[in-house]
Amino acid sequence: MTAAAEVSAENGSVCIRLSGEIDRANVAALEDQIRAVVSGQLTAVSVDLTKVTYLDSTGKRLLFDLASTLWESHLVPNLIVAVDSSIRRLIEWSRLPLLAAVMLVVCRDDSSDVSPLEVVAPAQPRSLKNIRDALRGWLSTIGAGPHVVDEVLIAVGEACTNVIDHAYGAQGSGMVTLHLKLEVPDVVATIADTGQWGSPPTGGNRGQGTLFMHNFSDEVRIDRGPTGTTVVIRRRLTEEKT
Amino acid sequence: MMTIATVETTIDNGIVRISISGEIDMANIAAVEQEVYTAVSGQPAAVSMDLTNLIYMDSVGIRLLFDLASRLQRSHITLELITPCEAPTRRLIELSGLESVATLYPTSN
Repeated sequence: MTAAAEVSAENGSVCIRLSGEIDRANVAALEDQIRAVVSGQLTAVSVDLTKVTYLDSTGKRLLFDLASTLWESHLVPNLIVAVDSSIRRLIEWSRLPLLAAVMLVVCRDDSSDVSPLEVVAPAQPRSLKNIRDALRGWLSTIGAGPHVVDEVLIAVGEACTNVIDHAYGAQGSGMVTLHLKLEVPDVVATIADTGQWGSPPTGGNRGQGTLFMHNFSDEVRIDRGPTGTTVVIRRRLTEEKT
Repeated sequence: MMTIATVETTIDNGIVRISISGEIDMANIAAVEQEVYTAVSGQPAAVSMDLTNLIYMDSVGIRLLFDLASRLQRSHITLELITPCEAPTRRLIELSGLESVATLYPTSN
């Protein structure tokens, strides 16, 4: 079986594109290639798995070891996974989502529509940068102007910070999910958690965060339920807010 | 990914000038806070903070500015904040009511 790793690194930002079938026979060679580039002062690591057709337990172990090493240096790697792939299920059923931001992308060329993007990340402060970078990338593909980008970043940033601060209590750990879609003329960002909020964030810092969330979007809908909270943020793509 | 902010400080006739660039969020707020408080620890005549090159900040950063402004005010030290007119940081500052404890100036070209 054959697999390949295409690796690029620039200013501490590493991108690893894996392809083919990853198994016991070739995992050591891939690991050497990855280890060679994942060293020194890193600011970002992305692993693109969209061209991987098979991944066995040794391949999962390779990714888990990489993510664990990066976690030690406060870095959350991005794992880019096709939304309708078998790799997605393998990743989701592993412990990898505890250590990585999983970017679920739609891989099809037959549509001119803007594809939605879903990011599932550990509800930890260190995931916020992954979430912002994913948001910036997606907003640029839909041609959003700089003003809209700045405002959506803040509104979504506040919603995610709320989740990290409140959803899972002091000891708990869980995930924050961001789903992005275009509903012309609006961008719709949905931020979800599966925690049980002690109390809604009012007063003090989080109260202000909620104020900013409302001020930087056109509509905010918050749905708190026993199995989690969902925040839906809508923002017009036109530069001026309605 | 890692949230990175750079805090640069110069002292000019007793005025501490702090310039923060990059991004501030919950991940690096403690580190930024420590650098800022170290910069203002020597009883300056005034503090000027330039946020022109700060590309992302949210309520977590606003909280830091509030705490700093209140602390300086107790020692009768003024705080000025410099942001471009159209920057989101400026709107955050205006919405937050920070102007009651700090003076806001536009970035000069």
